[in-house]
Amino acid sequence: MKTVTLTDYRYQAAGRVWNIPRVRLLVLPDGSQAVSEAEIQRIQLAIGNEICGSDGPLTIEELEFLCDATDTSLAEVARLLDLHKSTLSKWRATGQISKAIYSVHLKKLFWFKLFGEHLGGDPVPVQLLADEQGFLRYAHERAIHEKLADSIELLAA
Amino acid sequence: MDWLEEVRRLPAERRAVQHEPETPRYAKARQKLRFIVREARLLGTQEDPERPAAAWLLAVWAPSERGIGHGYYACFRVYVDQARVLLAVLYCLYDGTESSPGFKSFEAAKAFAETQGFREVSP
Repeated sequence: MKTVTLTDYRYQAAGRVWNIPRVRLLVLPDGSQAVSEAEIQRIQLAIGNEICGSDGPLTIEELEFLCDATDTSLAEVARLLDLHKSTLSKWRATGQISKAIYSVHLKKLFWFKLFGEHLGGDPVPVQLLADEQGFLRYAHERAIHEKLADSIELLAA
Repeated sequence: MDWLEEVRRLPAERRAVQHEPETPRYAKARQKLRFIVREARLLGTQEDPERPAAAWLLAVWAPSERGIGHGYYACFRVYVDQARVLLAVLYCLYDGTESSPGFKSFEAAKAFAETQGFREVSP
């Protein structure tokens, strides 16, 4: 099927706008265009890597994006963090994850869901065991270095 | 033919979302595509009046992940060759946002789909 490539495309996801260096579109039989699920998954990997590697607290829109990108239900998130579902409802109402430790834990969890199959067995510098945020920055760079995720730019919140 | 099952069997390269100017609902259509394909129930089908014999239209509805509130009403254009499904393109998503219609139940979505010409028929 014929395709066209857009460059520096402004892509909305997870409550933010991202600059995607290249987006490949299918040209449909009637001449209109569509973005395939495969291309969406490629872009979601890049955005997921940026979210998980960022220093700020996770927002509820980012959490919902990561859930969709990894086919994870919010019920599963609650179970993994041993939280009552009312806590997730509170997060949704405020738009923020209430404690920083949950943000870091969720970012690690989702980064492994996105990239653990390929990088889960890699050795990690020992000093990162005591630096959760440092580990997430390292993991972010590893995914880009191993060409599992594109490097993309956050344009606007 | 089980249309939804055919769409689910397509490789990810052959399921797509119609490209439009960036809007929050278009962004949601991309983000929810896999969820909708996995969770949706078929509301009805109709032959694409603009592409007779080459494409069919499907209306589907998936409940909200939260179990409450508006679900996702979506329409796919399914390109066919003989009886073989070639490509499925999501071209419409209603979830109650941006002044779009919203449906909290399969029955409500089905009633709306019928007003749009979708019927329980298979090609």
